[in-house]
Amino acid sequence: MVLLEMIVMGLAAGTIYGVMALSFVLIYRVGKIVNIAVGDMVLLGAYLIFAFSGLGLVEDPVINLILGLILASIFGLVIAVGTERFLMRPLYGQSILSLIMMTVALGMILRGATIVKWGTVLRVFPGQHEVFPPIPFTIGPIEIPYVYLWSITGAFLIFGSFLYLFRKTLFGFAMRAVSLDPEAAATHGISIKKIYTYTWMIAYVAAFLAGLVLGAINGITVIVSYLGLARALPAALIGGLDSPGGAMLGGLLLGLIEHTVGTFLNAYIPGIRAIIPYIVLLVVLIVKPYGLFGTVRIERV
Amino acid sequence: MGSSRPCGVIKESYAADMSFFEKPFHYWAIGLLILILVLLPFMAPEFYLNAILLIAIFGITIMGLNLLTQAHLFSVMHAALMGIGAFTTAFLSQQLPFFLTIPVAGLMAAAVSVFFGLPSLRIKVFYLLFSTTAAQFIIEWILNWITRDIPGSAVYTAPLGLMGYQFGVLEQYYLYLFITAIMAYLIAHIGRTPLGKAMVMIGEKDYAAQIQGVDLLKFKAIAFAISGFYAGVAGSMWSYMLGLVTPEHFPFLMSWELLGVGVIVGGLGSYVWGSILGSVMIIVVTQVTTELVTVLTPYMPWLGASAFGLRAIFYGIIIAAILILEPQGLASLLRKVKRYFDLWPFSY
Repeated sequence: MVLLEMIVMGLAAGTIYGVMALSFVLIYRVGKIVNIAVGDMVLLGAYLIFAFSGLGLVEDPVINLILGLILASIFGLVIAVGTERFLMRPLYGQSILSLIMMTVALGMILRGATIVKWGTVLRVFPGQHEVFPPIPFTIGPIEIPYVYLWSITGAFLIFGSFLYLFRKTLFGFAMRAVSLDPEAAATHGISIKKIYTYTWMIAYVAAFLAGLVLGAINGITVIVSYLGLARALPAALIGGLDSPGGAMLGGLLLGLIEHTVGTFLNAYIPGIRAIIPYIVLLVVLIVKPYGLFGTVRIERV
Repeated sequence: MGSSRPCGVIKESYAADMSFFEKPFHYWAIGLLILILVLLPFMAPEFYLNAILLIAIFGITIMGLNLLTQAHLFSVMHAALMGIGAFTTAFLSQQLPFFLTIPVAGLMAAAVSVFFGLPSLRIKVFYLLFSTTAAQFIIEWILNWITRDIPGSAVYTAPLGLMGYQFGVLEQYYLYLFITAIMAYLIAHIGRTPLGKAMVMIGEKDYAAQIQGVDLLKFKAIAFAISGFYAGVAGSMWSYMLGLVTPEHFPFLMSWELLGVGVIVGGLGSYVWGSILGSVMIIVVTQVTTELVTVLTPYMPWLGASAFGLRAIFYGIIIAAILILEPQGLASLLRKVKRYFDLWPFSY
């Protein structure tokens, strides 16, 4: 029964890893940018939700938090436009190292800004205990914390709407076209700049949702940024870097491994659970570098 | 050196073409620099000496990292490698003299570096960033694991000394200067050897390099070994300078600073001057931020705890600005100045 509970917990935690991986994968798929700043986007999201829900616009704590998430996401759209316009656009067509380092710079700026604005004190969301009660939610014999209900719902919503957008709409079609061949897409009248901007927007919103959940689990500190990076990279890599569906599957798998193998090993080597994602990352890189659903790159000289 | 020579620069003999210093001016400049650095302890306060030692330490790490990045082997585990050097030194320093511990620390870090670098044969470009990120956290965790029984995880290093004679600030300064000079001399020459040329080829396209006869396994392993050795030596110097080391001294963020500010802002491919400029940038920004926060805190009390955050913002802005305005790094500014004087008075 403990094992069953661990599996359910792992899958529940995996949904949010999947959302972070989605944020990462999307940027990579469309813009061919390796977004190292994903952890810092998650961190910024957590703090923004904290700030906006701290305004206390609505009485009810649950709605207040959701409103905070929505307001933070709207703010995130503005930041996404800024990111694309001022940091990324000057570098299109440049070497991969430049693009990576630019996301590093973005991450440093975002993280630095949160530290300057909110300091390094551990914070919790307003109404944390009403929204996420310490008593776990029970389904039959299994107990899972309330946070994971949010995580599952949020992941379902964002993932479903994203997949619909990506697979069924004209906008998603344009997005896929740009990801295949930006220049050919541009000749067919698709505005690459707009597509890139929208991509960053979706990535920010997904990261902010992850920020809500990770912030609720761990409390809001700088640590969230490292946790985010540590979960998003392996999850994205397991699924293959350019497959949104694979990102979700990778997240679920990572959550499962972390909560079963990690918890099991932790009994023998205390503290090893913290680096389980990295060990998974190394193993995946060595065994199957292009992941489960990733495009295998064929190199020609 | 030798790779791309601007129009108007003429060499009359093969010896002149291959010479390490291209112009008499370079002898003068190097001589002057050495003279200033040697005389500095008698003129400047200790604060500046410490800053220069830190620049030397970071500079050595960045030299190794620069070589690695030139081959497009991106590594973000160099802070952890410094940590390995520092901890090796701290554990050995009670028994062994410094001239043994520093190389041993370097070799230790080189071994770890090669171990985590070997996947680079199979995984390419930015995938290597992921594997070295993992390496950084795993090494950090192992260091924490080793020191778990020590209160505060702090390991003390015996002070620098030889045959029972304790080194003062002055001796330490000259020793570090000497080590840095040797390391810089070596890395500058590596750029001229087949190894350095192979690095550039691997960086361009490693399959193509392989077809041209570059043994990828050998050269990638050597690159990681050299880079790790440099980081280990720097970590060892760090350990002697501070007198104690904890795993928190070598965080993930520092690796990014080394790669981002050190290599990219300094100048990729400019092994000596680029690395030193990048290192200067790191130290200067750190010091300026600290000063700024101390000055501004009375007026803006909320700033007090956030020197760390302000520093990250500055680093981010500097990296972004360099990438947009001067993608070749600060070293290319030096190159431009040189070119201007090469072609003077007809600089077009």
